[in-house]
Amino acid sequence: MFARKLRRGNRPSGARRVFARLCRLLHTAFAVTAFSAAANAAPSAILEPWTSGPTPAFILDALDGGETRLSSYRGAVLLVHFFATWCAPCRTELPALDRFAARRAQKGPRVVAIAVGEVEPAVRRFLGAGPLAFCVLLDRDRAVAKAWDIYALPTTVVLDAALGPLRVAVGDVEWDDPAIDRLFDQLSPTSPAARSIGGRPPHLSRSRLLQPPAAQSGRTP
Amino acid sequence: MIDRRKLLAAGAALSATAATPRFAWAQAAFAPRPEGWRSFDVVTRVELLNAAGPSRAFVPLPGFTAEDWNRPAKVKWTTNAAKAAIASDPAYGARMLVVDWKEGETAPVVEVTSRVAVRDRAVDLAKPRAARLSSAERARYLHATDLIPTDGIVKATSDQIVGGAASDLDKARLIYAWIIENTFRDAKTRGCGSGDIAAMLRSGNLGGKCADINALYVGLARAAGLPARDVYGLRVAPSKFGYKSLGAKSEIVTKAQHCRAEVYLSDFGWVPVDPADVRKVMLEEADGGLPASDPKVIAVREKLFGAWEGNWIAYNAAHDVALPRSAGSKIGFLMYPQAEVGAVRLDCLDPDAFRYTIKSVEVAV
Repeated sequence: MFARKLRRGNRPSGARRVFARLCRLLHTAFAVTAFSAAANAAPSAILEPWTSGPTPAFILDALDGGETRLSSYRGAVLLVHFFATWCAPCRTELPALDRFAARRAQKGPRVVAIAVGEVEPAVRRFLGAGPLAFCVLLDRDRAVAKAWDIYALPTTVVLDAALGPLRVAVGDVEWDDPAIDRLFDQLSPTSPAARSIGGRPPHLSRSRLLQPPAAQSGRTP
Repeated sequence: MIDRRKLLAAGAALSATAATPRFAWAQAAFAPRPEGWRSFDVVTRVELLNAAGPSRAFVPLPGFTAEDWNRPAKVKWTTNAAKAAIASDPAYGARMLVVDWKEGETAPVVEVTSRVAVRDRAVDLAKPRAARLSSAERARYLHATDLIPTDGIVKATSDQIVGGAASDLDKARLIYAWIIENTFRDAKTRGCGSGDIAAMLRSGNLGGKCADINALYVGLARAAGLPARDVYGLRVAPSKFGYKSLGAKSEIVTKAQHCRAEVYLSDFGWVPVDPADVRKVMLEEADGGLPASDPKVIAVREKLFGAWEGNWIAYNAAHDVALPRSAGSKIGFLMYPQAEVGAVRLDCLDPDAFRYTIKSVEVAV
């Protein structure tokens, strides 16, 4: 991953292999080996099993007005998509995600997109005038992205019906790929993965989300 | 004004020299020296387009005072606003003009002129001297910010880089070298970058611009126990050394924001550091870029640890800035004008909704 990224444009050359080795070591140490993609990630990232920590509940302003609670999505598999307007892959991925959400409106998952570290006018301009098949929320101060340990954009997290994290894709996903549909056909709210997670994530206000995830209270009610 | 015309001519001459063979270029070596002050009037004009509701602008001012290289002077403004006053960020003292327009003002506008004197910096790293940093300042410039954590992967990376280096100077140099060798300037980065250094390290994508690359230097230095800070500012004149990538291209400097870094070494005080500008030279100084072995790159790399050119003025060294009386979230740093209409913060990089121009004029004082 690193070597591929470093080959682009005017990149360092001499220390490339050393740095790649260092990064691999660090990634191992931080247990993020499955998530070594970034904003310039592979054309289609893979939905890997989630191995990071809890994904605390949140309340965020919606682009269309009002506030949206994560808890309002309880009861069905939910796809939470983090993006930014400066992220080049996001520009091509969001229309595909919109098509995915529209064609799966009946079967699920439900989809919500979160703009990270962005002001409202920038997001409006980025998305254009057309209606979307999903709700767009504003994580203006990056508090949710931080709490969820989102370190690269785009990143998509799949939550079970109890809002527990199941899978993650770091990088852009080919939402038009039938394989993605087959995957979500298997992720019903009563899937073994969903049942094994169970429980209910804590509800955290925005001010509590400003604290480091480690200080939060896990996934128990 | 008169000096500026001469300066532009000198810049053009040096640029021409740079295109000649290597021995000739060497005569214009990059060598900032703290000789002679230059004064600039920086004129920032902000207009809010299609303003509906009460609106407010926050215009950064050169408020960073360093007696030996950056001296802010008078500020004056004209506006059709109901109220305008200078305010400071309580944590770092970042100065800004806060301008409030009443609802019904359909064409809010403010023009601010800030005078600042500046000169080159060059610390002789062969001659230790007495320096002192208060415990409060030491703590401030060692602690983590929202975008610059000093633990986790930042600390691990820093430890790997500095290894068993004995002195603070060695540590600071090792980090500088590592930044230059492992990061790259990404022309696609919006503005000057966001400065989210943990994301850079975790993703392995070390591309960015000054607010990314120099923030990474600051974070790695802090994690190594060296007080360090980003200094946010603006290029106000061409480089007298002929580097087109290291100076303003004209009097219009609307997009010439640049963030530099400083590291505090107990034997030398605050030391200027700018690895991001080394990567900028590599990307922009010549078509197709320049390799690290190019004499132009080597020249700036040698100097930009310990020196920089006084064709840039400093606004502030603030992080996580809460804009006065704003309900919006903190901003990572204050380098661009900011504005809000109603409760909505505008995109400071969007020229359609939020028009601003910045002009720099050298003045004789």
